[in-house]
Amino acid sequence: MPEDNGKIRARLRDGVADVKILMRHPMETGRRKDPESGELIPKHYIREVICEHNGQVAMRLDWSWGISADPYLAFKVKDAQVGDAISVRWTDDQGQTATLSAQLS
Amino acid sequence: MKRRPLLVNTGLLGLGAIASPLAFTGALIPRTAGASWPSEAFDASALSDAEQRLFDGRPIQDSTELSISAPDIAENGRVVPVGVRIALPNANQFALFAAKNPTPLLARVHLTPAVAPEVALRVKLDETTELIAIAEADGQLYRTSRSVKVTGGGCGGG
Repeated sequence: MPEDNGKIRARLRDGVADVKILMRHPMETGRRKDPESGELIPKHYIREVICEHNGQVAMRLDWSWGISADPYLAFKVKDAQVGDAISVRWTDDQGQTATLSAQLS
Repeated sequence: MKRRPLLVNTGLLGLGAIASPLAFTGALIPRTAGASWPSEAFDASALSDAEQRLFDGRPIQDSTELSISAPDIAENGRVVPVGVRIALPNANQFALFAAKNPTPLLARVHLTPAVAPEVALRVKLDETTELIAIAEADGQLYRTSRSVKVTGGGCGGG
C-alpha cells in the first residue's frame, strides 16, 4: 500500500469530537472493465472499519463494494477531551489494513 | 490474485457459511478482523433477501425517528453523500441499503454509546433508487427510506 492512506480531521467542540475521514482505496465493485484490456477488474474493497476513542472501540462498520472509491466517513465521538486519541483502522478483502489517527486539540 | 476463485465460491457455499461464519471467513480471508462481516447479506441481489439475512425476518416498523439525508438528485451516482441519523434511544446498529443496486446492502454499522448515532458516508448508486435505513434500538427494528434520482455515473458496470 502507498504511504498516503488518506486523511483524518477531528475537531473538538463542546465535548464532542467531529471526525471526518478520507481513506485512499479503489473500492472496486468487480463489475468495472479495464478501459485498455477490456478485462473485468476484480472486486477489491474495504470490508471493515473500526473507530476507536482512546483505544476503545466506539463504532464498527461492515462495508460493501457499494461504498464510493476513496471512502469518506464522518461521525461524532461523545465525551471527548483535549489530548484524546481518535483512530480509524480499515481492513480490506485482501487483508490489507491502514490506520488513520488524530489527537484532539 | 490467487484468492479470486475462493471469493467466487462464497456464493456457492453460501448456505454453509450460515452454519459457521467464523470458520468460513477466517479460512478465506486471513488477517481480516471482521469475522462477523455478513457475507450472505452483502451478496444478496434482492433487497428483501438482504434484509432477511441481516435481520432474520424480525418485524420492522416505519419510524420518523430515523432519517436519511441525501440529495434529491445525484448527478454523479458514483459518489452520493448519504447521512443516517437515529433519534431513537439506545440504538446499537443500523444498515443502509440501495434498493436498485445489484447488491443492495451498502453498510452495516455497529454503534456504541461512545458515538452519536449519526454517520455520513458516500455511496455508489447504480440508478434512481430508494435508500433504506433499518436501525435497531432497544431490541426493536425501525425503517425509513428516501428516494434519490440518479442522472449519471453509477457503479461503473459498463
